[in-house]
Amino acid sequence: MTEQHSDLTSEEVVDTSEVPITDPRLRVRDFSLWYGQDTALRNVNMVVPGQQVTAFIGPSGCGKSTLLRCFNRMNDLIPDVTTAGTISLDGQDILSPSLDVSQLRQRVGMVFQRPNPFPKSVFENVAFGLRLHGKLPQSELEDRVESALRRAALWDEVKDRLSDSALGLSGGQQQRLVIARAIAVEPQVLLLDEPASALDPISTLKIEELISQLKLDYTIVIVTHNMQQAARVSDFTAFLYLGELVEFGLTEAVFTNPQKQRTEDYITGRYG
Amino acid sequence: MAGLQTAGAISVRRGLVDRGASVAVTIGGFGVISAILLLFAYLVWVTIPLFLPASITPGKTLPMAAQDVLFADVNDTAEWLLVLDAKRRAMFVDLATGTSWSAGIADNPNEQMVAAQPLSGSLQRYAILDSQGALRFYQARYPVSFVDGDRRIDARLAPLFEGDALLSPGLDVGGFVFDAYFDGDRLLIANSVATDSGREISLRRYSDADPDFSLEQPTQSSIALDKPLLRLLFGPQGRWLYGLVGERSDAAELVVWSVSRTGLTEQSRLAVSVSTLTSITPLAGRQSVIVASPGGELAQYSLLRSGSRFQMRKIREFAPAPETNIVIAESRRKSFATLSASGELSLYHATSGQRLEQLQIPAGVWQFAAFSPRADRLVLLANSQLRLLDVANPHPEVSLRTLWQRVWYEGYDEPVFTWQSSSADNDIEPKFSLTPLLFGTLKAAAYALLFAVPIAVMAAIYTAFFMAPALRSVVKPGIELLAALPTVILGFLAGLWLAPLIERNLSAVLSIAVVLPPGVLLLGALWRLLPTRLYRLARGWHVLILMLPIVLLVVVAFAVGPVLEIQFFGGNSKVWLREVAGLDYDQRNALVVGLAMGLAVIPTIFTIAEDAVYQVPDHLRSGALALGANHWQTLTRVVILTASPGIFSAIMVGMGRAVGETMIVLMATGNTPIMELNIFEGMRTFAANIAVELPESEINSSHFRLLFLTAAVLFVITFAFNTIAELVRARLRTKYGNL
Repeated sequence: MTEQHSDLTSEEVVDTSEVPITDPRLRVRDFSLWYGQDTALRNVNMVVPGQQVTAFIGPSGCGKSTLLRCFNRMNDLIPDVTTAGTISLDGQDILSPSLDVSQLRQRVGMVFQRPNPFPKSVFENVAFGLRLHGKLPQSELEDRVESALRRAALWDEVKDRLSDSALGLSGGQQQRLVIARAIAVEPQVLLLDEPASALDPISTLKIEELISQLKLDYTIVIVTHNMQQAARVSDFTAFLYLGELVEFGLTEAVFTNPQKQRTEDYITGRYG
Repeated sequence: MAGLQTAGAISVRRGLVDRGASVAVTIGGFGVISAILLLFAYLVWVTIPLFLPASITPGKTLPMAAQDVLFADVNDTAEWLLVLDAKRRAMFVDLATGTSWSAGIADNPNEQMVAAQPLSGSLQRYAILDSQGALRFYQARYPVSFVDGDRRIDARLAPLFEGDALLSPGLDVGGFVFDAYFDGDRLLIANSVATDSGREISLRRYSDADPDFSLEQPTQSSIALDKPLLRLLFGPQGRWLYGLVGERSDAAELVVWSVSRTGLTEQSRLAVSVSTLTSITPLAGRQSVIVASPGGELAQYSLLRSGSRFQMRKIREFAPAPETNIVIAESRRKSFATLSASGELSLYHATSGQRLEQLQIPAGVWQFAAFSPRADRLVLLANSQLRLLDVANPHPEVSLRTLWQRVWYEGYDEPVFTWQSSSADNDIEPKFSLTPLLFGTLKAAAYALLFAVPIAVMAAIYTAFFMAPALRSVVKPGIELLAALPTVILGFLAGLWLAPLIERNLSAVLSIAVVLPPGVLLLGALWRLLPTRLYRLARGWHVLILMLPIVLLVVVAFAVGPVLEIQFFGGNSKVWLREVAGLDYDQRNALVVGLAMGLAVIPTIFTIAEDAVYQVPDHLRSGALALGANHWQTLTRVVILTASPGIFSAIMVGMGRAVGETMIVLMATGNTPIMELNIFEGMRTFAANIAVELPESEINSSHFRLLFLTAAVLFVITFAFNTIAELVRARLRTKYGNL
């Protein structure tokens, strides 16, 4: 099976020019990535539209999380990673060695699969990113924490326990807290790496509602295993398989009328 | 069917193994806990007698008709009583049966004796004064022999010197005031003499007074007195003479003379502040006296140096003992008892200042009272009744106050904290203050931690957070291996190599402390200026690159040190320390101990702290980095916070180890029990003290039990540190839940 698809020729690389994108935010060009000798991503070309939700789907190990992590250079932390090609954010090359990674990560926020609040109070968690870049007046800090918590639909649940430890919140609340923490620094892009996979159905529903709210303000890229979730929350869907972008297009189109056989096999559950 | 049976057999075996394992684990666990508890219980068990109250139990009463008793003394085994009376009859009394017989020294029973007292400076030797002014010396002997397996003691009293009794012409016989000192070689006699012009004290000195030989001509001297003499007492080693002078006993003065070859020199005079003096009694060693008044006042006066002179000073008052007739001092310790006519008996200890016991016995006109030399028996004579009392007072010198508070010892000019468990002379009281030892223990631990904690914790953070994994896999086990280094090696390296090295190169060593930290920081700043590529390449390996500059900086410090010494410290930093900064310098000091013991605790702290930092979940680091935090911010704001319980307990475990560490402090501190924070002076710790003194301590003595007490205190301290560490860690752990 692996052998069968490992040597994809360049003609088969998906052509994204057909996709109706009005406001390109992230542009990926001929992007490949290797972990040591192992190829993780091969010749990916795509555009992430602004103020929309783009979902990355694909079986485990297909490279969707790796691609997501390239958008805020979290892969830098892994030793022995080499890349080729470019990724640009609003026209700026974000892979450049001279780029200030901290600033990039401020512009491109990230939420992980497992809720990871810091062992601090609810307030301090949300204020963490704000405090990193200089001192803000306390009143402004409070305003921005409140606003982030409101946008993350968590304010009403935690407004009376802002100084309690964040570790006392439920899993779903923790995940929304982490989202609030990410949006408190006003990023342009929000990367969500399977944000609901560790949560119960009700918390998942809340996160999904939140995502549809947030796309009004942010460009959202979400990696998910759950195809129904991708279909529910996203506007665009990219299907990756074995390090290659197989298909990219409007979610409706990808799910109802996939262009590629492998996409159809995957979304109908033939493998994955 | 067969398959099921096999399965059954397997499950039975599994069950047995499971149960066996849990029983073994339970036994092991309880075994460890009970071993520790037993150990602690034993420590406490040995120390308990220190704090048991003294007791006096009335024993038997023997009839004894004796008149005009001048003096009585009990022998060392408390079996015999020697009684001397005014007819120069000497009588031994068997205290077990009450039988008595004459010691047979009377060569002329018609002579009248006027005074008798023990010779100070030696035991069981006595001076007897007759009405003609002759002073004779006797020695009591209790030779033991065995006849048919029965132990027999043939007690007898023999003249100390051969030949006739010594005549003392001019003795003021009416006052009977004299004292004699004999240390086996030198005989000193002081007495008051009435002359035509007034009064004086006469001092005779026999330089080569060998027992059993006749006395040669003495050297004589005298000193005039302006007031009548009430009492004379030789001081320690016959080097001082105390006199109580005054027209009346309610206006007495204590005079101290120094005794030298040339005679007496008055040193000081002190008005005794008791209303009416009843008695003045020397304590063992004669460094101090107990002064009692009928009003019950009871005070200790001690000879101490004040400037260039010696004087008596009141160093302590005791709980009052009204109507005191007699003060009875023990002959080897600083305990004494007071006895009133109405039969109130009180037992005191001078050093601890405590009244140990009070007892009411039948009233009487006391003819004499004496402790046995081992202070286990008190013998009283009144109304033809010899009354024996059993005394159990094994540890009078130990109380919570003497252990932990300042105590005014004999010969000291102020109350102090002192640990001095033994001295050249039994007459000098042992000084058992645990405070200097506690201070030394904490001082050693503090300096060790001052050095070890920053290095170990920062090394742990660097290793866990920044170091390249390949390097970490070598460095971590390497440092852990350091913990296996026997501390005795570290100790003797510190004491024999490092201490002299630091002493010789003090300025260089001190300039390392000045040069190294800023030097390394400067290098760090310069490092940032390197091209990014090179900068990235070395990530995780900086520490190797830093090695060379550190060595160079140390070399620089050694080069700069002597220059600085000449520039700022007058060419000799030790002299500068002493003269300008007022700090003493010992070769084996807290700096040496701090370095050596710091090195010993670094691996402990490092390992635990490194684990704590390394185990901070990756998703917390990623979370912080994804928010735009740089590595430093991630480290300081998330990683250290999350690892803080582990880092804290690492420090506490290190502290526990530093407090209990023995060999290094034993070999590198000099072991002087002083209380100085000065880094250039030594200390003595509990652990080292036990190691030094336990082998030479007499079993079940106060000293022995005290060493066990220090062991128990040490146990409690380390237990407390570890418990606090565990409690805080548990608290922090709940706070930072997901660790």
